[in-house]
Amino acid sequence: MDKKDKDLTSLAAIDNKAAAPTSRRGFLSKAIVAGVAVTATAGIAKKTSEVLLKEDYQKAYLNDVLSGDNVLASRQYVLMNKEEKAELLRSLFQFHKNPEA
Amino acid sequence: MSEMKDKDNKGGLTAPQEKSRREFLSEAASGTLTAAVVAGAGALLTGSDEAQAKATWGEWFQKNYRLMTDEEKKESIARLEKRYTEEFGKKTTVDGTPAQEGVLFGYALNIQKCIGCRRCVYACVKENNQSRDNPEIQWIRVLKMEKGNFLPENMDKGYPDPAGIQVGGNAYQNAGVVLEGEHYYEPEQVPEKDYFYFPMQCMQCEKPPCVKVCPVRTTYREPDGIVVIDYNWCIGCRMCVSACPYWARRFNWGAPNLPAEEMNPVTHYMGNRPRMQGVAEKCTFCIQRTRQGRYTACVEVCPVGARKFGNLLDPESEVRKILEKKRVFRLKAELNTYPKFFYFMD
Repeated sequence: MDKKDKDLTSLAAIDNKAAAPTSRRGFLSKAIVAGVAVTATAGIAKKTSEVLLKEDYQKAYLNDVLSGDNVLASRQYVLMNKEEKAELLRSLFQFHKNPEA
Repeated sequence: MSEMKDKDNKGGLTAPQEKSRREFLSEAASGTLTAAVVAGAGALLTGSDEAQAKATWGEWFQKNYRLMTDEEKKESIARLEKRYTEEFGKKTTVDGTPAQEGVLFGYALNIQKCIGCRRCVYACVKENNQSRDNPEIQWIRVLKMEKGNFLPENMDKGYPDPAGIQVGGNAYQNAGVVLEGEHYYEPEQVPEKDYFYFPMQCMQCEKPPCVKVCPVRTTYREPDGIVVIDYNWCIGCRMCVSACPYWARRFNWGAPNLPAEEMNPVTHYMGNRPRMQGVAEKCTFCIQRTRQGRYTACVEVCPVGARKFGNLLDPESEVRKILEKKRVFRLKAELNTYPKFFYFMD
């Protein structure tokens, strides 16, 4: 490559660089590429997070339930006498008639 | 155009068959980008199997069910029926039958009769389209407990033993001790000697704490006493799960795993329709059945007739007779939640 060729190469590169940002095609192309890149990144991030941060749903469910079992098992039964039963029914009917109660 | 050609020729950037480093890098970058696009799009699309992903636009923006007009309710139900039918490959109905006048549902369970077979649990899972695997959600839990000495005459005598948990007042011996690892008991035969079984589920309180704490009012008590949840309005804050003193609410940590062939296509909007990830769920007294005059699945399946269900407003109903004639127990009476689920003995 002689000196003349070198000069022409650098000239062409300068021309290209100057022309790209101003053309509509260049702008649209960049916008599309950026959009696609964002979509791709989001998709890959989603899939990666799903794989890496996969939760053990069964364990989470049992954490909710088993603690309750122990507490419930420790509660007292309350034997209701006749008056209490009547009072309970009366209250239930009252609440039923009045939803705001 | 001719100028450009000339320029390229003058510049002599590359030979026709040879690629410059810039071109090579550019092609490599675009190739990687294309691969990333395909992978990314694929990743996004694979999520479409989830029920939540299949929710239609209309479903996302619908109102709280209680505030909908009749027309909006019909639209919403039609939308869901269409989606479930497509999703599960079978004709699915979503019922919207409201509470009947003059009905207040109540439930009674004979603690003496229960043999701990857990048929109720599995019937409930099947009927109410609960997640089958990871997580395996069950609305009914049956606790296996040691019998101990639970005599009424000892109720007000003596002191509890230091070890163990007392159930039933000051009995001389421990009673109702739940053993670690006994939540999923699998004996060869039930009932086992020296044990009794204690099924737990939503108590359908008349003053439900779960309703009080719901910040978006997606859960509420219906006039027939059933506490329901509008799954589409639920924001998954888990306040209700924490507030329930009976640990009766379940939370969908992940997308429920409901195989299409096992899905019950007869559903109710407030009941057993398929749920999505991030919402709470619980027993609804099989609202899809009971509002059609049928028994709940657990009542139907119980082989020893330990479970009784009926209208508390009807003096002749079985559940009212039990309340009048039998020894009835209630859990946690001090909370004043007024549960409509009673335990009784003959």
